[in-house]
Amino acid sequence: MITGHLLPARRLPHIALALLAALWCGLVQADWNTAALMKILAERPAGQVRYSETKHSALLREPLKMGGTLRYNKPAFLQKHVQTPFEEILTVDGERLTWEKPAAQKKHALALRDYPAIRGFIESMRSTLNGDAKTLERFYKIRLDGNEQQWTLVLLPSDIDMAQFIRVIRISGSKARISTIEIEEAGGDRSLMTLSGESP
Amino acid sequence: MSLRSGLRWPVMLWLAVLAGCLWWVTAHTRFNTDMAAFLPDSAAPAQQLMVDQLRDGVASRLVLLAVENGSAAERAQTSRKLAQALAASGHFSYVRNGEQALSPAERERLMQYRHLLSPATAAARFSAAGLEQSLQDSLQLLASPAGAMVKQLLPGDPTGAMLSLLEDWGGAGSSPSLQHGVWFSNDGQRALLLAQTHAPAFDIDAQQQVGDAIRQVFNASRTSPELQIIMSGPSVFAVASRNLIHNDAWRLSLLAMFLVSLILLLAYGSPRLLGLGILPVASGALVGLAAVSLCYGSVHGITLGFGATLIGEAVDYPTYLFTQRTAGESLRDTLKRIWPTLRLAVLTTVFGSLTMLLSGFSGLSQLGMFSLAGVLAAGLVTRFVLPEIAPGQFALASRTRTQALLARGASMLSGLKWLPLLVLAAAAAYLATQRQDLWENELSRLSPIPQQALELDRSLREALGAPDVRYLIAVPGATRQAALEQSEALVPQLQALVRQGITAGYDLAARIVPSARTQAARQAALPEPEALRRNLVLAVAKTPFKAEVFEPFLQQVEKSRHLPLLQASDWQGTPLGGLAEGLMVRQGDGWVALISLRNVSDEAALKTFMSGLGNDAFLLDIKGESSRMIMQYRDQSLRYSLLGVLAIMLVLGIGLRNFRAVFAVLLPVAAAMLATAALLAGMGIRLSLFHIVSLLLVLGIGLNYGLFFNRPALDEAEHRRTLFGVLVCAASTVSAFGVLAFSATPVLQAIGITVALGAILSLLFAAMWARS
Repeated sequence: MITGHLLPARRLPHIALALLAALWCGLVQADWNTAALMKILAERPAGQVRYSETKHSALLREPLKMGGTLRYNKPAFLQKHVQTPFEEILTVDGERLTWEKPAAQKKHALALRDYPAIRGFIESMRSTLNGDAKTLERFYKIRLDGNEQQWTLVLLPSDIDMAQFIRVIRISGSKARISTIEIEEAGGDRSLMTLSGESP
Repeated sequence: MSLRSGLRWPVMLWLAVLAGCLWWVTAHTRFNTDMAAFLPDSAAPAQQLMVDQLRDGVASRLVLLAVENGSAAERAQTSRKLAQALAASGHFSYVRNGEQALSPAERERLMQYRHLLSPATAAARFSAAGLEQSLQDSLQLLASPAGAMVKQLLPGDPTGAMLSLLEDWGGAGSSPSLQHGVWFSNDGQRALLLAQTHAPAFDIDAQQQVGDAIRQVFNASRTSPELQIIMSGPSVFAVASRNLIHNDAWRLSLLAMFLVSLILLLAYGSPRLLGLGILPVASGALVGLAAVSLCYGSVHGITLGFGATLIGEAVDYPTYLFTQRTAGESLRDTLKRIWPTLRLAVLTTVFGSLTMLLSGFSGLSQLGMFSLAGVLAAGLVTRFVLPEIAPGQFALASRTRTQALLARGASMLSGLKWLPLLVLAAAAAYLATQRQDLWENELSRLSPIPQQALELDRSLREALGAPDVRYLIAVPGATRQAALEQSEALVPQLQALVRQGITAGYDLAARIVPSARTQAARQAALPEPEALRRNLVLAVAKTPFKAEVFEPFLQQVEKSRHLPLLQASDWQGTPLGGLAEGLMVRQGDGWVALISLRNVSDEAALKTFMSGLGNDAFLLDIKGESSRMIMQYRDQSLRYSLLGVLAIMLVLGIGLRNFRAVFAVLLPVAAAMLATAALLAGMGIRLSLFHIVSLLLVLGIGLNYGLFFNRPALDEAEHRRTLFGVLVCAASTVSAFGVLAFSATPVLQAIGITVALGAILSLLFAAMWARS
């Protein structure tokens, strides 16, 4: 160690400590990447969480507040059950999206292929909740910030079609628990979902 | 020498006629396979419609394609390349593989005309309360994952008219699942495509080209040699069955020809006579063809097939002539002796065909014409041309030992005169008891298409949500608009049909081009700008939406109020336009709106549903109607054949002037025909049109056996020669048609087994009643 000779001997313990700390952090960081996050997410069993959502839109005078549950299951199932202020059940299974409004006794079905933007949008949630890295990478450029305790997955749409509608999606969490999903649409509209009370 | 050349005029005439016929047939004769030829002149509208649909209906131009084997990614990639290449090939009006459900042009039309196309357009929807409801729905939509996308649509479409149209036409609900962005079967083993040909379904040559083009394009675009393509659909089956029958017939004909040549060679001992013997029947076929083409403009494929069978007896004419010749005799002298009998043989068939010719049933009268002209020509060639062109001196095997053996056999048989009578009575009685199960009414059993292919078609059709090929609902109207209106009125009932699960879905032209009345009514339901603005302001106030957001909606509704009504021509060149056109059919002075059904699961329930409709709409059962039509054709043939038998009896009566002789000629062949039919029925074979035509041939040749067996013989030698001649004829017929009996094609098998059996029985029975 060449620099060591140039430094006063009494400072050596500090440097050693710092080096140790850096080394330790590096070791930990080496294991923390998108693949690792996806792995722990994929390893979770099917589950259900409660959420609350606030939607800001240029079309609206005031933000819309909603709440309900999210259910997810491998390989490609996601159900968003909105309970307040209205009831609505959105189910995505494979290629088919069903949209149910119990109050009006209406049920619609869409094929996701006709709406590539919706498809990509849904994958941000469905693939993340199910830890499906492959599908996620088809639609987004992915960046992972933070560490295992406090991570943020930043999703940038790679598809031009989708980038027309979605600017960025930020998903934050700790270990296998997702806490918030923030969606920023093109044109400035955005929504923030807060997930809580995970119940398998 | 001068005498000989003076007598050559029949040959010159023959050659001239042959040349003329050949020129006419090659230059002017059109062949068709159009089912319409089977239609009686007084066909019911349902039958007319059925024939039109079979020829060129909504479902009949569709080709279902599946790519299998290889990996899923390879299948998907090939599906993409295939769809692109097929669309560029110019053979198809559209090719779909799931990549895009609607073309940009279609989306644009839907958007522009959404208020006139949407069944939801009604005054109440544009009231303050109606708009408030729509806005609440829109709010939910905005908050949904679709929000980011429909956000752009919302300011112009808060009522959701466009969205529901997209949902209707986006293929949701009925189309196959997607993998790698293209349609796949549910098990994921096949990538699926659907294409509609430009060529009409009845044009089998064109459809054959389409099939070849598909295979070629597939070979060029598949991404792995493991990949295979499956094609299905009515036109694919038509091509396949033609080729199957064609190949089978060709192969077996060669074998039959070989066998017959062998028998005749053995009989005559002269290859030269063998060549001469073919001339009458070949001339007959050419003249028959030319005659039909001259009189009817075109020749139906069925006429050609059945006609060639019917004039089969003409093969026997030269045999009778050659075997009757005594050593050193000229053929002209032989003819002097046998011509009265041969003439009667020709005339019975000519008059038998005459009734068919006069039937006024175009398919049948063509057949009568072919057989009449063909047999007449063959008879004349045998009489006037063969003696001219045959060598003056030729050696003919005498076969006296065989003849002696035959004479012994014949005298043994002549003791069994009672047998044909008994057989006739027993067969008639048996057939009468079997009357219920005698006829084959299930046409598909006569198709050479294997059951497996039909099942594959069903599963592909189900997976693709392609229209059912069997059932259509037909809604007649005096005008195009009236038919459209009538069909629109059925929509609520059709929706009930889908809810009950009787059918998976339906298509009607009015969904794409609503009737003028409906469009005008929807236009009238759109409020004036001021009223709409007032209603919107009231509605928006009760939601979190900003009022100014919906300006585009106000403008576009106003535009919709003044749009010229949507016409079929506005859709030109799009798949939806093609669909709408195919579903509107002109018939007579009026129109018929067709409603195609997808995956009909309960036929009985569908029929019950139709009987409860109570308007002019009727269910078009294409399979049932075509069976009924063929049955009609069969019954007509039967009726005219019976009339033909009467005509034959008359000719025989005049020719033979002897009741006993007429009886001796007719009884054996009648017994043989009935016994053949009874034997077939006893074997569990149901009789079809093909058996009837074959029995007519049995009638023709059997009568000839009887006639020759009963012609007065000068001496024992002549009697033996006659026996020998008839045996040679029967042997060649039985071997030629016996070969067909081993065909895998049901139609050829039916013809083969019937004729072979009938010829054997005719020979035996006629020998029993032979003059000794």
